[in-house]
Amino acid sequence: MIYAEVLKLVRRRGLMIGATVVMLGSLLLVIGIVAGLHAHDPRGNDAVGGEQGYTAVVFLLLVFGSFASGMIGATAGAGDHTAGVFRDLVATGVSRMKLLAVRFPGALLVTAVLLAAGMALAVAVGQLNGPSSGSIRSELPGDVEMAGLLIGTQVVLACALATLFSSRGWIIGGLIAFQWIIEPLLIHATHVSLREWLIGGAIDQFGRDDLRRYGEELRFGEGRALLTIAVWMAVAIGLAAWRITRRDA
Amino acid sequence: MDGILEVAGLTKRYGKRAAVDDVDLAVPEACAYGFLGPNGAGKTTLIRCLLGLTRPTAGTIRLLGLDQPRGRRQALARTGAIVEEPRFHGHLSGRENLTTIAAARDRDAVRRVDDVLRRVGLADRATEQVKRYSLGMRQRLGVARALLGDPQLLILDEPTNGLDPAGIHEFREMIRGFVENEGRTVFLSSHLLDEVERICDRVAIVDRGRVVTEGSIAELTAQGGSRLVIGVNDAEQARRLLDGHAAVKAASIDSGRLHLTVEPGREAAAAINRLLVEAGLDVHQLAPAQATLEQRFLEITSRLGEDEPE
Repeated sequence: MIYAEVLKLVRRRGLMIGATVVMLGSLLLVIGIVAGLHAHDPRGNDAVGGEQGYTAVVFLLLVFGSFASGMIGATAGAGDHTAGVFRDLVATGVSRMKLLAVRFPGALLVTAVLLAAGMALAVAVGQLNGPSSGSIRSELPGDVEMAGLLIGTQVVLACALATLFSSRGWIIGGLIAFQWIIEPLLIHATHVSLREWLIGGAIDQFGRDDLRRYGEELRFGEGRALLTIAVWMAVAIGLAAWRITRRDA
Repeated sequence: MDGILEVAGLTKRYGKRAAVDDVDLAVPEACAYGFLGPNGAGKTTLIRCLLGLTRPTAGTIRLLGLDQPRGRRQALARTGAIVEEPRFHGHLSGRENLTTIAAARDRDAVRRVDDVLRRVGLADRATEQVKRYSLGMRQRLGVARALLGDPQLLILDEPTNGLDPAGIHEFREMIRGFVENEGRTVFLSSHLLDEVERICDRVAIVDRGRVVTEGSIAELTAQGGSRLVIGVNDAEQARRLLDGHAAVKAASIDSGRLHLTVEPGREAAAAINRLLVEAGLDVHQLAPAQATLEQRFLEITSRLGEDEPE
């Protein structure tokens, strides 16, 4: 069934092209611009490579990867409902919970391939000439963990919320708005104890300083951060499970 | 009750409206069973309850001898269904669509994909995206999907919608083949009387959520009185004359001839003939007629319409 979920996603040409362009195309574009600027004025602009180039590419991968993973997750969550085949899946007798459960690994697998390509690109950029203040080899495991956590939670959230609302577009838009407008506002405006419950801030705790969105203004322990992430995942999946078991197919 | 599909007191309400109202059904094994009713009669809602797509408000369901919803997984593993118009992932090919559904069933179902595609005549178009399929091809693919689990019971909701006359004929043959050659049971809902009459062995007529009558086609058409066709020189005058006659239940004119539904027995025909002749009309034909399911259906549903409060 997981293979079937992957098949449903990868055969969507528009989705796959869109996600690849957003996640990898945007990186190539930025790399190209930086390389062009360096070629035009080598003294005024750093070369594209080195450890700094690698870090910049990983940072962009986190930003654009979260958009792309939202697209993939939301499509996995709402695809059967919008195509009208959910009732046919239910009529096979397989449990609705199982139908929900297979959506997550399907979407995660597809996103993982794009993420791996993005990380490979970052490592390749790191091999080029450019400024360095550290070692890619030492930073890579932590960065992969951070990227996996961010992209993975985004996929699960999008998939669960799209199942809850049977909508793809609204969920993609809503997640982007939350992540880039609402959450930063909340982090600046709310009390410290509330900030620790925001998922973006919690994920931020697992990144090294150069990859953090909120920097020093939001620091708390990894245990607390893991609890926040677990609560968000549990609530989102719980709501999706509640909806899928109760709705008319 | 004793059947492959048994329903007792089944009710499904949406607010105050009962879409299915206290329905009892027992569908025998290895027969084609028609569930006939006008649009909005509750046919699809009943099917959705059978398949666990919606929860009934009250009543019990047994599929393949298994209580629902407890034995749902086992029962639906050997049940195939088409509910409303068949829907698919348009971006996937016919084969891929079947593969995704077969994956939810079992490995045998995955192995059957090519076989069922061949069976419904879609093997040559199996790699084409479903969004390019005609409605008729989608219906065929819907039948193929229903066959993936090698079902003992097929539940088909308006399955000939969108098929051309040749496709409908082919479909009839296929359904009869399922029943007669393979011993499967087919529960077929339709508003098309001719289709049900040609395909089905038994029929339940449903209207406004209730099963109004049930039986074999012969039993149903025999109910509701005898029929007479009368050839007369002035059919309109004859009808006026017979209007309100105690033996006449219904009268209509078709192709210049008077069609009557009368009380059973010879006396009614004799009394009607006498009345027409004594009124000076020339009666040149008076013959019994075989009632069709259509006439019986219209009788039942129109009578129900008369009972409806204003």
